[in-house]
Amino acid sequence: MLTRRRRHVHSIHCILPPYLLRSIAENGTPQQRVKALRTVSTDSTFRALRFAGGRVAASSSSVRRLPAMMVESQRQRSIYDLKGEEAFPGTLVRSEGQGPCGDLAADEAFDGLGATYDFFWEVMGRNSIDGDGMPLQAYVHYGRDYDNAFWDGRRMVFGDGDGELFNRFTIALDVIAHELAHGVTEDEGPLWYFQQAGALNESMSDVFGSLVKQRLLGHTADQADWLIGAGLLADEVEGQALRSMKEPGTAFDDDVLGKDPQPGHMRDYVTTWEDNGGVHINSGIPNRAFCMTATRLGGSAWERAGRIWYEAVRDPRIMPDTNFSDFARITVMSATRLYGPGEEEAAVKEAWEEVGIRVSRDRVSVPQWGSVQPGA
Amino acid sequence: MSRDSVRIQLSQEGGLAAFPGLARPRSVELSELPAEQAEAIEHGLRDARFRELPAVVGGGSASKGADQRRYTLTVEEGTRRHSVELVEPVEDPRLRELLSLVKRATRRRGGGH
Ligand SMILES: [Zn+2]
Repeated sequence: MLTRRRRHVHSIHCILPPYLLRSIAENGTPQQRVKALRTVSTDSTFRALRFAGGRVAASSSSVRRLPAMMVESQRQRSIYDLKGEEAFPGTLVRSEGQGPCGDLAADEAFDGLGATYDFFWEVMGRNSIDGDGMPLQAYVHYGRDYDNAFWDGRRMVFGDGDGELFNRFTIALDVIAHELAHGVTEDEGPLWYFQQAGALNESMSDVFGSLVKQRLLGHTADQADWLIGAGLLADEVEGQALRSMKEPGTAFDDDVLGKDPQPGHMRDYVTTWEDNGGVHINSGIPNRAFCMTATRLGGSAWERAGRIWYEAVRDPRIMPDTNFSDFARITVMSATRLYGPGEEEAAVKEAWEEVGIRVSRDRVSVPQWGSVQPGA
Repeated sequence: MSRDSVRIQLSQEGGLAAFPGLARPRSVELSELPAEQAEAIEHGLRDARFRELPAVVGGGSASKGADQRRYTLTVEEGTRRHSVELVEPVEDPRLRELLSLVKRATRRRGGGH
């Protein structure tokens, strides 16, 4: 059960930030060095230790030592230009170590992937999408007037927008990070891309997307705009972004796009067959829970709230059909595991309660809100 | 066929965000369009052999991935009606061209119903 996944032989995860480990590995005494490298242990071993009640004490002799070079970043980006086609692989226009190629979308994608890689590496101690240095591939200028960006299971694809409704999709760093984060969530968990599990998948991408942007801008939770895709909607469109994590349902209200359909509370949960069962609609609920957790805790959202959410998505109890209530409970347990019973745990609980999901020590419940179908 | 009897309808779902306005089917009579645009769409329909296409075209078998999009394009000519679901990536360039033309035609501000 603890090893439900077969990969991640070398993946790095630890409580200590990598820069600290790197410093210890480079400058520490031989004993400190060995300890630091032990801490950078394999996922499954570390996970097993956590569940055995250990915190950072990776002192078991079964912990596999990793070579020192594993403590280095392995950022490896490639940007391909599809030149308006929808056929892969296109032309490689920029790879790691090269300067700007002069194509705006390609350079934005390159920088966006860099910021996202750095976020996962420096904040979460994760080495790329698969935790094992997976090269990052982005494809720009996909199609003509193409109004979308997506993750296809191994690469990120960005359209130029039609100019009337949408600008180019690389314009927003959080959108780039959103797509990359889909890779992370897919690698970590078996979440179905459907109904509540799919909305959680979507929410994870928004959470990490926003955190990458907040970190680059140096914004605290209070300063952050909590918007996803600001700048992406063309001038003529009535709206400020694709979504608002702080106030779901308020991002746009336009005669062509319609009104932002996101709920921010379980009482407004939308039951639909469209959009894979509302994955981009009901994600507003967990998005708001995250935003409120971060706001309650204050400071940099990626430091505590972000880490709690990241721990949750890596939790082996995440199942294909994990719903909001299950996930709420897992985030509360993650908070407790990481920080003990204290303000973090309380902030997470209160935030979920604000969106209509009550987590108690033993169970989680969703009060009946009219036509709401909890656990759909 | 006479142009004023042809109605094109497009809806889409999926993609990076949910836009009710785009998911709602939007249709346009070719006769409402500028002649040049209407002719381009007629050409597009012929080139893509739209009327002969099966109900679903494109898409992979991938259970992976996120934010991908699908379109439903319907052409009504009098009592005849043909509907095709286009799942990304749409590989046939003629079909992509048609999709692009129809998107522009049905999304004009003040246009479409
Ligand atoms: Zn997404």
